[in-house]
Amino acid sequence: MLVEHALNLAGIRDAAHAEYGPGGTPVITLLECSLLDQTITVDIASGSLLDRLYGARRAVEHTTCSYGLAPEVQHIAGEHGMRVAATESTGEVRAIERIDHPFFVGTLYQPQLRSAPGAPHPIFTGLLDALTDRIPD
Amino acid sequence: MRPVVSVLIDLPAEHPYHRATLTALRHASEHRGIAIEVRVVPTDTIRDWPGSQHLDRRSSLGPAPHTAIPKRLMPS
Repeated sequence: MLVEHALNLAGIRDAAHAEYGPGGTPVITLLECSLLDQTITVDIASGSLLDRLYGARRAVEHTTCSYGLAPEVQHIAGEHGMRVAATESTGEVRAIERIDHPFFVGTLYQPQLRSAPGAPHPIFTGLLDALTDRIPD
Repeated sequence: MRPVVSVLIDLPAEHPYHRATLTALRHASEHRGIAIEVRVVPTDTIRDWPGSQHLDRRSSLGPAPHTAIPKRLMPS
């Protein structure tokens, strides 16, 4: 999502993902502190779609990521129609969403790993609600 | 007609994270009472959609400007 965003909207014509080799402007890079198999606490941005879906301003999530948005370009997550939806205590971006789309959400954590029978993850119920136009205002 | 949810995957379909995604969709579907049809789409089979770069960087990045990004947001 963010490489596409960088290439096509943020004007970083050589935006690249470091996991796929050197070259270009690395938009996605190895995290200074790997989040592989970690539990993180994220702060949900007020007024975001995630804010409405979670119904809370803080969430605990499981993540398996080693790569994330490069520190030098964190700002692009809040530009050109993209919005920062969640951050970690370090201020680093952990979720994004587009403001012009009913459900365009990307996370650096794996919400599916915290879903359970009878207690589905709000991002997944939010997706289904968006399908049927039931996301609460 | 049931809504269709396409799940783009870039690892083997049996990978625990992908299986967890399908399970999470089922949890949400059952909880909301919304019947859905889930279609699993390996990203290396995608030619006209944006997708993961894991298997085919060129095919995933190339078409993206025409599909994922609304035209009105494209830089002129």
